[in-house]
Amino acid sequence: MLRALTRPLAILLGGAAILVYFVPHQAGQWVEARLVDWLVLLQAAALVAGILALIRRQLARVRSGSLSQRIYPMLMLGSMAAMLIAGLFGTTAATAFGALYGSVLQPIQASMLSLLAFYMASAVFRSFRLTSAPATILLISALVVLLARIPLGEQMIPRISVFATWIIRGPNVAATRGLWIGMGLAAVATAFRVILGVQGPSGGGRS
Amino acid sequence: MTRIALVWVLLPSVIASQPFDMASPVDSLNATTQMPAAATADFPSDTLAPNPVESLVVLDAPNDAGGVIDLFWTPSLDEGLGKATVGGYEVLRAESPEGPFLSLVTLGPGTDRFRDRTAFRGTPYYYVVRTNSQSGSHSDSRVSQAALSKSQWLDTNRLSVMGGIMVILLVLLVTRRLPDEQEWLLPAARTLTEILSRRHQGPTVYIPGTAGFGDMGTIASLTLLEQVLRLGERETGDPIVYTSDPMAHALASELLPRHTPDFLSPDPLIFSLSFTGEALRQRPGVGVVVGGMGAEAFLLSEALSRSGGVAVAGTTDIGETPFLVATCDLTLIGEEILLAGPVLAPGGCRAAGLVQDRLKLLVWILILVGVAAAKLGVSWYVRLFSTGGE
Repeated sequence: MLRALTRPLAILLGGAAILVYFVPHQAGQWVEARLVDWLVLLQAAALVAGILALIRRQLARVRSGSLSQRIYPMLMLGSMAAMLIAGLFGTTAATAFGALYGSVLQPIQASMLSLLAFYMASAVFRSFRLTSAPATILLISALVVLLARIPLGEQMIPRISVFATWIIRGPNVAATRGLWIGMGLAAVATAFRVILGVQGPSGGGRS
Repeated sequence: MTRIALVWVLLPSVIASQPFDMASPVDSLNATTQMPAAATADFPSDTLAPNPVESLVVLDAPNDAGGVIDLFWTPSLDEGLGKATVGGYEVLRAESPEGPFLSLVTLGPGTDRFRDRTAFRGTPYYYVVRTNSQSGSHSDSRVSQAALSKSQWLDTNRLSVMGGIMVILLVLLVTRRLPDEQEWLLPAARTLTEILSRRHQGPTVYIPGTAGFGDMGTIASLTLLEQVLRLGERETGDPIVYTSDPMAHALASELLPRHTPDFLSPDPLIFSLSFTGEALRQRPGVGVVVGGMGAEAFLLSEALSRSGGVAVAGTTDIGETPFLVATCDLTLIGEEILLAGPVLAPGGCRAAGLVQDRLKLLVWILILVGVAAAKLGVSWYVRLFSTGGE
């Protein structure tokens, strides 16, 4: 019964969300505000469902895995419980929650971000090893832009920054805009397919 | 430009309707500084009141929910002439033509318009623009006509967007009825089909992006997940799906027939960290990371690449795409991310490619006509596509 209502509801609410974009009247704003409110509620409920699924999965691993396989799920569940309990006593920087966040979580996030620098260097090296014509153009463009960004580059090749600026503002912008136009058109078409139930989360699913 | 044109059309009628002999009701407020002409004759020129602004026009701002009134005026004749150099303008507002007028804002010299965003919908307001000289004297414009802000039902600035959406919808509906022989396949989708239809050592893992549900990449990725499930059903079995967004998790749970996806973390970086560990332990045969993602797309694709499986990735963040190209075996670029799902679907959805090609052709024609129109000085064509952004 509920599943039968999914498609009409998706069409109705999706259509309303599109329509309010063209209606500046306060009635349109009211509808938009209600839709956003419902979305927030749904997201909150979905987050609870997600966390429960996470706990269930980790508990299953603790029960079924070998000793070495149990370490990470236990660590994860222990950390979650510690943050939850610490959060009950306040979430400011001076509290235990703030200390855990600032001393554990933030350094973990920072270390993940710092990995990006190494991965980027690795990706650049792999790109430069390619031997096709597009890879050669990529290599030349990258070298020009890299050299133009350092003082030594202008000393070595005068006016290289002019060429680098042309690469960034010319071919680069043209390619990016081309991608954006294609993505914009495809996004509208995809949205219609999903809203009308032709394909996607509202129309597909287990049958 | 539309508003200026509107002012020029309305200006004569507004000026004609002004009672020229009407004394300004704020004159009483200015009694100490606004001297009668005869009385000012013996004063030095810098204490003279400047000429007031002329042709004050007030209009309800178009295409809004009300509560906004636009004011336009012709600046004082003393602007920059050195007689009583204008120091600025002050906008005053009252709910009755008799006042009391309260100051709303002080503007610099040279200003000829103001948008009052503090009005209440349905309340009539009367405005006066006061011209202040640098010496401290001032003069007031005539009281404006009553301005009433109203809500509009249709944003005319967005009619071009509405037209575009109608065209896309029309092309979608027409193309769905095309015969099967006119099917069209993305090269990237063909490669993805080959990858998923092969037997691999290790499971297939799938990440529908890390961005929220507001990113079209996440929605497109879920439509692709349906096809990944279908294509890999025989050889690779159900993929292990890792989610970061709670809504994407809920919808992926609906799509997966035999098990629920793994929700790792709503934080993209922590999610990347968790997934890196999972990928290194699971050693997937195929890894698909497609959807809305930022810098974490690179971390996830690197984790897949280092785990030894076939890595397929794509993100709606164009800036990350070059790194994915360098890292992955197959990268979905731009529109391919959004089209891969519909193109791989059985039946009419393969026409998605045709829709895309026809729409792109239409956009190309519109752009070329626009370039020609701009060269020939045809401004209405550009206005046709303006959405009226401030």
